[in-house]
Amino acid sequence: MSQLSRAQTWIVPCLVALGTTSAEAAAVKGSVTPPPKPVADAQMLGYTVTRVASPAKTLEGAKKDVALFLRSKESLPIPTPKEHLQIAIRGMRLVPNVATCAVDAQVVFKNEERDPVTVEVGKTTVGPIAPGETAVYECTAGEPEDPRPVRIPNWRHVSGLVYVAQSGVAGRPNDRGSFSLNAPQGTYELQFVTAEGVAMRKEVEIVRSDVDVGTADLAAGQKPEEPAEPEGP
Amino acid sequence: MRFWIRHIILIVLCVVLPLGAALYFDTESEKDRARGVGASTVQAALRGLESTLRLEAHDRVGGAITLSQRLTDFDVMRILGRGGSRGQAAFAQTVQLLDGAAPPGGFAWLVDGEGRVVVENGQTEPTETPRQVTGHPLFAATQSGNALDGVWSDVEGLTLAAGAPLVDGGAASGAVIVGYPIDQGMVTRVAKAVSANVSLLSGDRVVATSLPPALADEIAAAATSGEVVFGGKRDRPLPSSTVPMLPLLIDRFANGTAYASAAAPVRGSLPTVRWVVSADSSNSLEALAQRQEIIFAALAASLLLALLVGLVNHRTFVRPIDKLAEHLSEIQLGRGDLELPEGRVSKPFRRLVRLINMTVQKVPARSLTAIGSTSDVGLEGRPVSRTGSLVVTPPQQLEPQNMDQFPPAPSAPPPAPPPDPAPVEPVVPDPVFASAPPPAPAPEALQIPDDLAPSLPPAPTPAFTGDDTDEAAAIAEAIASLEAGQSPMEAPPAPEPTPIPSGSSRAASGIRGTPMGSVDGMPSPFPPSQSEFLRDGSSLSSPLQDEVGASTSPAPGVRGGGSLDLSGYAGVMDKGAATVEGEGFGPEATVVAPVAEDLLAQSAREDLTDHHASAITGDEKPDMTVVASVPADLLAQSAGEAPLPDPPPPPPPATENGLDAADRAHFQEVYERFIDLRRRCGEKTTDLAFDRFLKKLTKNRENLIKKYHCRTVRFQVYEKDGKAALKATPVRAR
Repeated sequence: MSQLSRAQTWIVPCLVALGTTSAEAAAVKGSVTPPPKPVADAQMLGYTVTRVASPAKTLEGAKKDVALFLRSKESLPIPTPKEHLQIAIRGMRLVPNVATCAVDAQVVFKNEERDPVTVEVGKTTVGPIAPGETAVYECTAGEPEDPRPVRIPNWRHVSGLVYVAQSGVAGRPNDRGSFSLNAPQGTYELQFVTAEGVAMRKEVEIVRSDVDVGTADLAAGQKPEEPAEPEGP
Repeated sequence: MRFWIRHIILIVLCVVLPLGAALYFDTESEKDRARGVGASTVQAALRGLESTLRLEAHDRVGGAITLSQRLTDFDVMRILGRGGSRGQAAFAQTVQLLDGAAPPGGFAWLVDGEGRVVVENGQTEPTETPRQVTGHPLFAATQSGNALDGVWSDVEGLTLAAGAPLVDGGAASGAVIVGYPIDQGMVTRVAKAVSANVSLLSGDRVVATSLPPALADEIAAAATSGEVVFGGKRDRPLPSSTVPMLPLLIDRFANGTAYASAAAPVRGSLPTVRWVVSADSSNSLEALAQRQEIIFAALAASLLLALLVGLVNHRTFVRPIDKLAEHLSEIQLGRGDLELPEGRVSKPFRRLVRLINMTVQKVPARSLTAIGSTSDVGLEGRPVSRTGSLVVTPPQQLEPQNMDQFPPAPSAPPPAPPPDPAPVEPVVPDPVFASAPPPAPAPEALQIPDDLAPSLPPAPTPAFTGDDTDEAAAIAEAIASLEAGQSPMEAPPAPEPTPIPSGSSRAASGIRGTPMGSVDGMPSPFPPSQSEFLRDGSSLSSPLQDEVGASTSPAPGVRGGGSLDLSGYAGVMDKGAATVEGEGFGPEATVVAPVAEDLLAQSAREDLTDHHASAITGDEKPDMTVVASVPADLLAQSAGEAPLPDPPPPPPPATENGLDAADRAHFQEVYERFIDLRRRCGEKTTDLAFDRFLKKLTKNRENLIKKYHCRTVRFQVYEKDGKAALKATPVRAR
């Protein structure tokens, strides 16, 4: 066998492999400006309420929690994620109070309270979770876009959301609001999800290189968009 | 009995049912009212609970505000943040303050701006991992600058919490939260404030209650909303009254209705956590027994009153009517007394009794007008001409003879036989033969057997002279003169009306011709008037009228239909009078008086029965009988009389004495009546056997038949002078 033919035997597969790796390595990058968390009004919880001071300064810059989901419309197969979004139970609340999840993926709940806590996600009960322990919620198939509320039975005030979609990549921004979602080539819909539901949608196409979607300003008074019509089989 | 049945039905319909319905509806209305009272009480208690909790909330929030101000002034957060000894001192001081503010069983926390509980009451040293309440709405509200109250729910239970922010530079920075446990003490205090039972329920679990635990569990299942529900039962039965069985129609423990309850949610907590207020709704039922007792007393009083009214009505109306009906029935049957004493009936009916007695008294007077015209035998046993006039016999002392003196027991000596009676008998013309009257038979007295009439006076010799026609005319005239009443003659003084004593011996059979003289000398209280005698319009054109009228006066109390005592009639006596004697039956005088021609003619046309009263004298010294014609209606009435209580032995066969069935039946009937009259007159009845009675009557019958050539003889029973008497009437063949 000649050297040229031996080189072709090795080069072609390498080029193919290289091409494939390059197809999955593209990332969708951007940033999000979460909407502000409104300061609670003088809500009467009991029989009396009296204003005695101005709101705390820590409440002025409070923002809502935001989760991201890159929903696949037409793409190469998306590998199973190795890391899952986590929701902590701390200070008699969910931190953060929203998570996205693809079908067959998971959401992890961690109890950072001093007492056992039971969590209800949709119609599924997770727990009781011992103090310091975690529990996994399996995102089973359901509706194509299925927001599932999160409740803690003993704490009526606690409310969260687990957004389950058919196929895609789940993620959340960091403290500064930046995010990066790796996905193979294809066309996608980038969804910005809060505890109230999908706040914004953006069409994204991944060809070969990363895609920068820019900054999604959720604080501009934009209402969460209605979920897109599920595509046919 | 029917009266009482109807009265009892009336009592049930008008007293028992209405009062029973009143009892039922009153009880139901009381229960409804009790439920209404319970519902009202519960709703008022709910409003009271709301007010009480609001007041307590204000107190709690005020306490929290005071505590937060003290801690703010103390600048505890900054000092604690520094650490060191001052931090430790500040920590200790803060704990002391929180211990003072925390209620028994509750808590007091100092929370920093991030929601960490940096100091708790009872804490000895700072902890590395403090509790976090960042997400609790109460803390969140304090960080909004508000002091408020709410419910704190944790594994330890429910707590009414009050929170107030720590103020740093005018802005909230941290908070104090004070928790008051909802325990038995707090529920009891609230229940006392609202004057009702209060329970706190979380789902179906009773957290705290002022009710008995079992009752609270029962009510917890019922009260889930603001709608009032009833349940539970009393711990002691409803009090009874004097009657231990009361109250009726209700459970003694008011099971299922004892408590009225309603629920209200606990503000700031889960919907399943609720206050339940319960009020006793059976207190008003405690007087139910007394109310029912009143109703039962009214029922008893009404029943007694109704029974009393029934008794009075029965005594006043029903019994007198029954007596009247019985009396009239006996009259109709020919038994009993003619007159009913007025004192035997109540006042409302005495006038009716009086009228009935008057009517009964008048019946013999009416029949008196037809006596001479219908009977073959005139009064006093004087034969009457077959042409229709009575034959007046020569005057004789007419003594009423008793026919009831039956012979004593066989051991008694037989009486002396009476002398032969004079065969003088008036004969009443038979109307059948009025057109061709047969020759008047010689008057014949009914002979009394010796053994039956031991004490009979000698019978006067009949003094019939002349032919039958003359005798009949004389008798007719005598009767006519009697019927003329008081105007053509000196009317005898009207007998004073005397009351008929109870148990008068005057029998109903006297209607058919009992001579008034036989009523124990007690004339009727209603003196005869002319109209009574002349009721049938008979004329008084009797040849004897003047004669009779000049010297005679009607016998007192004459009513007719029987024997007449014409002893005062001199003219009549001159015409001849006959006494009827008989053997064994006791003779009695017969009154003979002439019969008016028109009466005779009238009687000749009438269809008379065989029951003619006549006094017949015979050759065998017949018994004295009173002769008078009996009206047809009375005869018919006597024919239909019921047999007397003591049925006699069966009569001998007709072949023995020539009696047919009718005769035998008649003799039986006569015997029964005779016995009954004797009994009522107080005479002995045991010494008279039917066979002997029949034998005598048969013998007399035969004598009369032989003498007057009549077909048979009919007898009548009447009372005379307090004794039973008989009179005979021949019956011509038709």
